[in-house]
Amino acid sequence: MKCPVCSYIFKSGNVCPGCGTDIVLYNKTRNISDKLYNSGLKCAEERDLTGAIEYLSRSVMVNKFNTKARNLLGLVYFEKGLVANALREWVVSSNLDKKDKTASEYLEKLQKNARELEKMNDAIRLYNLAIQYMNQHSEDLALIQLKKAVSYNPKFVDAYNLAALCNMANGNNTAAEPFVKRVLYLDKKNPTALRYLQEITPGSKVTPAADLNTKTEDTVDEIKARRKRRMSYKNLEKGIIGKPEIISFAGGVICTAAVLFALVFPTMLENKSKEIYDLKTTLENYQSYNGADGTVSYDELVSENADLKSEVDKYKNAVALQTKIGNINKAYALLANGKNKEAALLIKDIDISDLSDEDIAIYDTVRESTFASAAEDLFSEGKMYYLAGNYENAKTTLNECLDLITDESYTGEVLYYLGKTSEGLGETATAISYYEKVLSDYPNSAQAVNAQNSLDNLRSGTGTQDPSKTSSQTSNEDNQQ
Amino acid sequence: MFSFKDELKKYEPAMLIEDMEDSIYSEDFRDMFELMQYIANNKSKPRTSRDKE
Repeated sequence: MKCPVCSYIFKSGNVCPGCGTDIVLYNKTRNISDKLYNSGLKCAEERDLTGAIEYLSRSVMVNKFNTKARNLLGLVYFEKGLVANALREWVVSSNLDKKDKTASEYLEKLQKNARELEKMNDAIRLYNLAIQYMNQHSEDLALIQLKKAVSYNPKFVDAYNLAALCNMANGNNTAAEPFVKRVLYLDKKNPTALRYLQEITPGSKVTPAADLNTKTEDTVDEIKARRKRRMSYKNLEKGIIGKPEIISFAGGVICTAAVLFALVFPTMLENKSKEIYDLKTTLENYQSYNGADGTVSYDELVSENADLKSEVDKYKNAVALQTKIGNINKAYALLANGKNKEAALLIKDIDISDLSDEDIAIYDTVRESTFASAAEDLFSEGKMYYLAGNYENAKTTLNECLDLITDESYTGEVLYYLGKTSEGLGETATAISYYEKVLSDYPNSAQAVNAQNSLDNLRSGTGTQDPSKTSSQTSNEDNQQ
Repeated sequence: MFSFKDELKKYEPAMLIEDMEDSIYSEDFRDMFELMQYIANNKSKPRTSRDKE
């Protein structure tokens, strides 16, 4: 036992050994408070909220430190929808006994659900507004507010009671009855609701207790049914599907398929057929079209294509002409810089048939000034390549020389060296043709004898196969000449 | 049959959360034990001449 004055703890006796205080009174009040708490707890367990509030309020009135009673009182208030009252009790409780965490936990939970708390507070606000409306005889408006209030907080007992009263005031007892029953479900012995029930059903012998029992039984049944449903859902989730479910599912599938075949597919087919017919018609129209409606016909497209092609050719010719003129001008510039060979090579393949007189004059100037000297240079160069055994370059250079050559006095020589180069490249037939040409076209050429010897050697099958030998031999021949 | 007016008078506005703080401060939290202790203490004290008057 703890002395309330000096907090001295002692086992027995009614007088504190520490301070000498008589604690009989204290013990008695504490016992009364506990008894009242027990009664309140019993009422709360039986869902008699009004009775519980009555007992628990007295309990804390007798002993304000009975935090258990105060916490329970808060809980009962909360259950009745009076959230502010509940909060007040829990706040006081948590301040009176810091060690007891129950009230703190309740407050913490409420703080976490601030939105719900706000809704409950709104419900109270609407309830207060409804009282005002009812005092002003605006029962309809009051009823609207009350319905809204119970939608915000479905456990708001006082709001249900007031709604019942509102309906009763309008003479609509039938509408009042569900509200009364709801109150009696939430708070079994609510005196107001019991009174209203008697008022609504004056002849009925159904006592409130019996009514409540029925309600309880209903509730138990409901709970059982709910459990059953939940179990069946769980089974479905686990994949255990019963035979009836399979049969009904298969039936559903068959019915759906039948409906599809009977209604949907024919319509779809009809639509598709119509679409095909439309497309065919459109295609036929295109094929037989003669261009009357502003669109382009096939013949027109062909002629337009031909026109465009000719235009493209025209542009191509113009470009080619410009290139020719450009090359002539370039060659003229090279001539001015003393690069005769490059200038001659640039214009040697130019076809002058479509050039203007002015361009032809420039071309002629370049040609006359460069071709002879360029041919001589190329001959010397080709001969050097040949002597060095570089037959490929010798062949190219000597052929270019042949293109440019204007002085026929050494054409035979050029052909002879081309023959020798071909011989060096292993092209015997080509070599023979070159030698023959020397002998037939340029019989007075300086290399005519050598060409004859080479031809004889080739024909007898002892042609010059060794390039170095050929080179030295040819050099000797050249030297002799 | 009860009177609607009388019945309505029984309904009082419920306390809102914003009014809770004021309610806690204004409430007298003395319990029965404290009151009885107060009375017992007063009884044990000798009465003064002013009390007799």
